[in-house]
Amino acid sequence: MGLSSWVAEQAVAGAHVLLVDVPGAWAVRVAAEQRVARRGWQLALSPADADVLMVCGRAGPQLVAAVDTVWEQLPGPRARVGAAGVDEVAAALDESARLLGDETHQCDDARERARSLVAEDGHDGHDGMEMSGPGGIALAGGDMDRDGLEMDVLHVPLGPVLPYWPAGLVLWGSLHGDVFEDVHLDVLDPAAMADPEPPAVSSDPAVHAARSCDEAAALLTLAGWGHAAVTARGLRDMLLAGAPADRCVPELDRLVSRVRRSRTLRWAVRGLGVVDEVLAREHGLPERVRGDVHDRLAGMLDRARALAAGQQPTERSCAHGEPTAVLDALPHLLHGVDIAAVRLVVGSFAVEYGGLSAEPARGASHA
Amino acid sequence: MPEPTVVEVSAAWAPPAALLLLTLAWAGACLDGLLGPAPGQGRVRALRRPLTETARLLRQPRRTLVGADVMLWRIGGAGLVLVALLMVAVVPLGRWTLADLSVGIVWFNALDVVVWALVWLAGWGPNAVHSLVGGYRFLAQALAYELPLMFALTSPAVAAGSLRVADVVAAQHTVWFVVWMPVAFVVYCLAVAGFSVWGPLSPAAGADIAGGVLSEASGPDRLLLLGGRYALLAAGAAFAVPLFLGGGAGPLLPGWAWVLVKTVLLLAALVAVRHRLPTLRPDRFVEVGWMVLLPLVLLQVLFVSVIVVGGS
Repeated sequence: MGLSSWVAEQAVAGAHVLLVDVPGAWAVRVAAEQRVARRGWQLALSPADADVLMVCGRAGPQLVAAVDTVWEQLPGPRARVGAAGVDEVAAALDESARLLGDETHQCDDARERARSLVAEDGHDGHDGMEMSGPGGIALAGGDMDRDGLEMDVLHVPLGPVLPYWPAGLVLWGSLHGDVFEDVHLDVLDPAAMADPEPPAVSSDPAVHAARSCDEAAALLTLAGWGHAAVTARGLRDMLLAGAPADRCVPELDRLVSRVRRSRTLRWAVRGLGVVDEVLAREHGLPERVRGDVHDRLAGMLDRARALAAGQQPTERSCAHGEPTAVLDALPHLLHGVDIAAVRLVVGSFAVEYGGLSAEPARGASHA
Repeated sequence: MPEPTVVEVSAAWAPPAALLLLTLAWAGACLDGLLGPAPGQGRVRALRRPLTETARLLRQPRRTLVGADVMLWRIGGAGLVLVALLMVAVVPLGRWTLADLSVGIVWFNALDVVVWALVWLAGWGPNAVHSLVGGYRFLAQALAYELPLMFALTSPAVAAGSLRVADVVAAQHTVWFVVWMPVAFVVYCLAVAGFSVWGPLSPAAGADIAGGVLSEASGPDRLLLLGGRYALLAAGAAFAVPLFLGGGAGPLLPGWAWVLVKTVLLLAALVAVRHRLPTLRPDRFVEVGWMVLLPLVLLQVLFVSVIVVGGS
């Protein structure tokens, strides 16, 4: 008992949290990230890596169904919590810590899971195995990839529960090796998205600057540049905490020049997802998405800098129709592109619906 | 300066050697907490991270997926630590070594090729997309770093005129090899990061594919994979010491202490680069591997050969 409870205590002290982004609840996710860091916990990249599954915001029915599936993939001991608003985040994480440390609860949960697995096994028996692969899953079919090589083809979704991925977005495509084709995008819970009433938008430029920093941080994480991503996230938190412009702006300048200067980064992301004149005109894309991934990343940081310096938010806040234009254009950019590039290109557009919540995320970091 | 001779110790020393390697791997994990980007998380917490992480993973059950190739998956996961242990068997700790093989350098090279299979299996095993893509990426990256690594290992062997690690150490009693074969040393370090799935060479475990080869592993399997990465990194750092950094040579301290000090310093350097550079995408890194690294390291071998022939 002594040892196992000591192990449990250590384990809970370093829990990993998988956050589920809900459209329009950016502020909640940011508050959750801050709280997770302050507890000394870490963010998980996949369900297998997570102890806690936390939904940030009010999820619609389709997203909830996806979350249910993901929940089954957590290895356990596990805890599932949700926070509808910024003010619920701390309590939700406390609750998850309590659940994780509760041995009886976890034992019951594990027993329950084992039972339901056995019940499922009894169901599918041995029918229709001849044309299928191991475990009754259909085998991957073969097809030519973009270079004319015959590869196994898998039909897979990306999202919606995927870190550093736009909230509520699902990408469907066929994967040849690691190259995507036949891409199309779905938005979960479109009814909730098609809300005729435009969502409340924060008028505080600092919040918009923070948002841009957050997008850049996600993109830098996807590019595998941890240090710069952490700096960008730190700036986001500074801006949200209401740090004065004369502290944020020089820091942002440093980050901008670091990102622009990095040859490795430019070399790694150059030429990906190029939006040229023609494509932009055809889909009515805004000026800010012109160029390649590197241009858009630099653009995010430039925008953050301008906003932090006090410039009023412009196109970003009122662009209600813009996500649709981007979603229409994206499949053209993602055809025959490998998965890393898909992630970078999608990340560089920072698709968002539901606008930027007016709910102040401010104060969240020093509450 | 005493002639550095190497004594082969009995196999009973293998467990302490393994313990030493795992301690180094643990130290690497602690250093990662200290040197990595972790704002707002105190030093103590960062140092505690390997402990909490181990406890967390030991508390988890291992999971399987539908259609997973469980045996191959487990082999891939557990193999990394084993390979790292076998690598350090030929590293002399001052005067002592576990195996004074006449082909020690080839032994190390063979083992690092085994890592290809292991990481691929770790990616292939779970029957999941992100994991599989991680496996593909590792193979592509391995194609890029392996040949440069082989030639980087060749340079010290040519200079010493022997594939025995002890002879390579002995050949450095005047000048360390790192001084006149810096290219080989840098390429070697890059390749160590490569086979440890580390830092700029970690796209196989990238955030863009949800952790790639790590994405489906949990519990003890994940612990072995993560521990294996640190162990490989430590073993790679340890092998660089006799190869490029003069082995146990150094003032005041005894040879074994110098080997440890140099290993820890190189390990710290490798750990420190981790988050400081963007990940090199395998499709673009292959170009660098073949068009830049390979010619450079071949020139290095040529340079070393000319010096050796001219000097003899």
